[in-house]
Amino acid sequence: MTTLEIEGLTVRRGRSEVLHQVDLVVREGECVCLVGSNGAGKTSLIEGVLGLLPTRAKTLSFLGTSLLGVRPWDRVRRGLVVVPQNRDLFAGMTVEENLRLGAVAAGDRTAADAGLAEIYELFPRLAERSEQLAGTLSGGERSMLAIGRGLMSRPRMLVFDEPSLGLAPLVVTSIMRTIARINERGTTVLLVEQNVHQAFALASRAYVLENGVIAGEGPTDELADSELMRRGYLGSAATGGVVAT
Amino acid sequence: MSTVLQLASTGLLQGLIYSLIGIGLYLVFTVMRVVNFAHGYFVLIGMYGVLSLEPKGFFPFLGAVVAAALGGALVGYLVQRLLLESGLAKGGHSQLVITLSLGIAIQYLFQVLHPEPFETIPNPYPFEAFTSSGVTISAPRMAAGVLSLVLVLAVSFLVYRTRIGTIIRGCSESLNGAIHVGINVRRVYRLTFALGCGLAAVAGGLLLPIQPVSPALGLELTIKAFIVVVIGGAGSLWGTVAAGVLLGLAEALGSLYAPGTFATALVYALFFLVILIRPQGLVVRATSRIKPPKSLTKVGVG
Repeated sequence: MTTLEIEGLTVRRGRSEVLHQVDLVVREGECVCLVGSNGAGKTSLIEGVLGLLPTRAKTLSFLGTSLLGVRPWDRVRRGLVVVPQNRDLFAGMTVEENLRLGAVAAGDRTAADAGLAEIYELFPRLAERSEQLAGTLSGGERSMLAIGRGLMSRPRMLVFDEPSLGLAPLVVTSIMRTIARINERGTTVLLVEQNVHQAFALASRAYVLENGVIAGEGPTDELADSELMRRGYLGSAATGGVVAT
Repeated sequence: MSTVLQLASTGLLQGLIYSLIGIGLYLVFTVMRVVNFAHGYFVLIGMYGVLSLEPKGFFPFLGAVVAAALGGALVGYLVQRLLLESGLAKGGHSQLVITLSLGIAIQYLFQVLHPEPFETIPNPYPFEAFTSSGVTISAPRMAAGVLSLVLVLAVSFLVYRTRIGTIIRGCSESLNGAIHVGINVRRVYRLTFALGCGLAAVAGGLLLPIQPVSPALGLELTIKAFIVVVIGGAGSLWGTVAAGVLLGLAEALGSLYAPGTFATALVYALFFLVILIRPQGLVVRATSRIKPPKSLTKVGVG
């Protein structure tokens, strides 16, 4: 079954069109990544799909129903949950309040309690800091909290917007491992990353975004060897460079 | 000594009304980042609302205050829905223009409807005055102060201890965060604006038996509400409440040292000084320092 289906998506940011005729499909249970350099339009794609930016599309459907004309918060309530790039946490509220707000759309207190226990099991660090204000957390903890808050919404699909951004390599590895775990437990994942190496290790399929258009797509193992990736993203395959510029 | 006590009690009670007016403006400002220049005019809506209902006796008066509050909230809801929502989406200085012109429009509307200045109603309460250790407080003043305090406590309970309050605080912390957890922020904004305007209107209703109403009063009350929110630190409900009480006390005690109008000037000069010395306000929301009480996290949002 198709979880997310995008056909001919055009996204505007202010007066300029930043995404042109994008096609993208994520099937249930998959972990798909979307890679591209700075300014390629990755975040615009997410914001367009969530309805935060004006869009036009031939098809934009989630779990078989169209999202066109649906308000952003109602898209979240349907299970399309984004872990945003800058985390967008409730800085002046505690870790636990942040997590509980994640479940606010569900409106079921017992389910929220169960969800909370799960998150604390997944991130014991958050349990230790449950009474601390979100604004005082370290970068890695903030990232965990953003992911935990997203999971509290019981997502059908989680979209990660640059989860590795600004984190130390060890923390990135641990976050990526968590994303893999979340996917293994059955949540469909769309991983949007600049860090191609990490993303390809995790995802089974990938889309490459360049200047607002999809420049390539395919299974990650095939794509990693392609001319496109060697040219623009992976550097020399022999050295295994990972930095996209 | 008894003069000082008398003035301090009057000032405290008056200050509680300022606190009530202030938290309405504070809520709209912190949650929506909208500076409602029409806020004082919503107090006028409450005053003229109760005046036009001509309540005779205590219970009719209370009913009139509730009706005026609901009326103010309804007007606020419609203003948010019909004017501010579309205006804010366009950005720029539209919120300033919209709320400022709305205030002026309300003022002239009341000038047409009530050309007579300084209208009021007789004491609606079943007792005349309250006397203790040389201090006499009239019934309407006492009741207005006490009821304002009760409402302030009720609002703080709503904001800090209930599910809807957690949602409201979430929107004020991060609008995007709120959207990402599926909160219907548009509905929260409408309700918050309605609540803020309703609080202003209820304060107006309580104020009417103490303070005769004129259309020009709207501007003065808007400015006072501003002072209260800014001095309070714009980051804390309790800062706003404290600043309201301070303003009331300063006004009352100022009259001890300076005659009438000059005292008012002194009070504003004093607040000017406070802002120069402590521009961040009395209470600052510092994520690193202030921890809410533990029980807050037990608030059920699920």
